Amino acid sequence: MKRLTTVVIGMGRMGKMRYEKLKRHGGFQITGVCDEKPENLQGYPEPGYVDWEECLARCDPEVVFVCTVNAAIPAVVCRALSLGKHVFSEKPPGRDLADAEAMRREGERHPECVLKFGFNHRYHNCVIEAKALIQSGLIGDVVCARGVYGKAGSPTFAEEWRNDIRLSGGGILLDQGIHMLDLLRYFLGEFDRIMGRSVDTLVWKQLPTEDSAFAILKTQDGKLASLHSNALQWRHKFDLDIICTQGYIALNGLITSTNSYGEEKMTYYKKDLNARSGALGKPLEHTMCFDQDQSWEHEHQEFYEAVVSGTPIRNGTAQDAVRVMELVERIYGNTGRGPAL
Amino acid sequence: MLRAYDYTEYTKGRSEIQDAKRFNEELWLAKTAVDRVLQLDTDGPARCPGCGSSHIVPFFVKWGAAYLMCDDCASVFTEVGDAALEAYRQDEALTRFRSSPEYQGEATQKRMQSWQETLDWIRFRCFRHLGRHEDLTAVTGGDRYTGFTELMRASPLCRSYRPIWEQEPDGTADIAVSLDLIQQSNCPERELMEIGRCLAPGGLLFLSARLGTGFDVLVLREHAPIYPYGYVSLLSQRGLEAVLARTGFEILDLTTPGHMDVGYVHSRRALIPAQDLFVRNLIFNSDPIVLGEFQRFLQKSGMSSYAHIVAKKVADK
Repeated sequence: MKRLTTVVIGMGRMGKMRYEKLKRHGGFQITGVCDEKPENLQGYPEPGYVDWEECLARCDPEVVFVCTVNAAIPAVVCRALSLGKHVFSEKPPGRDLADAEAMRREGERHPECVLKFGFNHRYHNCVIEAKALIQSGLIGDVVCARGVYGKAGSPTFAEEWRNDIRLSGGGILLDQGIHMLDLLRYFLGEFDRIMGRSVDTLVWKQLPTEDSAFAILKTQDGKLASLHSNALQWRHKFDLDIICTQGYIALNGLITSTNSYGEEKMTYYKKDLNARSGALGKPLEHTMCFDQDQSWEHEHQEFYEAVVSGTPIRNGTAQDAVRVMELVERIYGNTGRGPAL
Repeated sequence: MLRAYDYTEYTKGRSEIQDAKRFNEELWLAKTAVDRVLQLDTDGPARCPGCGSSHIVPFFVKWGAAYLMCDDCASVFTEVGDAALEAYRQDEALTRFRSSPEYQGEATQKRMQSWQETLDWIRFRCFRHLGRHEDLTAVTGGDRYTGFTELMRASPLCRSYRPIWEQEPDGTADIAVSLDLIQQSNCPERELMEIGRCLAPGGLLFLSARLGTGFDVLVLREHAPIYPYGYVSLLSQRGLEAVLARTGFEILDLTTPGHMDVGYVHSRRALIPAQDLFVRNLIFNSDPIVLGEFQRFLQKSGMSSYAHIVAKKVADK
């Protein structure tokens, strides 16, 4: 297995997690780690850097994993691409659409480099199965979807950097709701209209960022989706209903490192108006329940294959990043809570 | 391997897959055939047909045939030699009964919905693992019901659907179907080798099997709706995994979607052993909602007595 020299820039929670997964993959030889907080570098055998430019210059890696705060992502990604490095960047792709577009342009200037963004949810088992079921045509065409992605908040929620709008660019919609937006695009296609939206700070009143974002979106061919991204669910919650012409899919829960989003399940049934499979209104229902999260492994493997074998990136392309940031920005509009502030 | 449970919630009459009178008639013919072949040959495998272990303990006796349990993987099986098993399979009265238009017609009428679900399952998983679910070359280890064969042949899934003994040349089939077959064999390994021979590398095996570790089997033992030699090898999940690995298959999906365990035990509740206090309390005193929830628990926990497996052929053995 070819081993790619790799540095991880940003060793907060996501950087540490990526580091562990990359070590386990075997195809990435980590030659340096970087974080502006020296305490985040303790305990790692690789050389540690507090300056990301020095890290890139000294390590001269083939691959750069960018796991910094949102505000730093564009500069690191663009610099790494300009140096001819392959780049994997955490989501969100910067603080705003301009950041995402800048990274896409830099990527286009360096077509020899792979650029991928971490829209990791596409690799969860429930999402993989739902996508296959829809593509199989067995339950017809998607017509609409409802997505709810909620966080519990925490005693220190207000102090988190994610709620510092200078570093994050936005609140819960940009931080977590972006995953649900990406999935809605993945299942329904491109949205060209925002039919309704409300971005609010309903409970965490002291925050400049939103704790709740509702949106209704419509594709050009008339598919509808609703989204509620929030930090006031008071528990972790992931629910996505997908209604098709011949059936229905519900994704409930996600396996994560904290095991706090509940059991990851995909439930589906076929339309049965003649009640052949069950009572009318209660057709035969299948539930697949998953006990493993292989999403990180799948995501890293796709990136690895793209670098080593030149296979195209399927998920988390620069185009995906720009399109989803367009939606984020349009949902924020002039509410004063997102990047349009 | 994807370990998922396929929880299927039924709300009406799903257990009526056979008229009681016809079921009893079939049972009587089977018992008559067993009585006859028991005299012939009882030399069977000395080892567990699943994991191969020789640590075997007695489990129960039914119609004079001893059922054993593997102490290592918990598979359940009865010892029967090839000659006796073949004589049972060729029993004229039983064969004539099962191939009669009445028997086949009733099966088509009562099982079509579940066959359609099986077909949907195969199509969905073909698309998931092969990226296509139409125009595939398919083989079967043998179908008891002509209605199911006709359904498969009429489906866009299959370009062809032939029994394995008609498939030529070897190693060319996209998918192989083995529904409720290996439980009838005294050597599941041989059956799986035979069906695997037809599959192309990377081809998919769709396997369903009655499990020996199912709730109804473990509770009811000889009173469970299993009998010699319709049910010879009731492997456990571990036993199935072992025999599939030995025959060159990698399991992709394993679910236990059986939905009849609790119904079987409930309908035979007077036969639950007196010392099974918990089970007796559960079955005698619970309302249908609790029993339904318990069935769901069995499915989810791999304790239902019916397994669905999708496995990929990874090597020639």
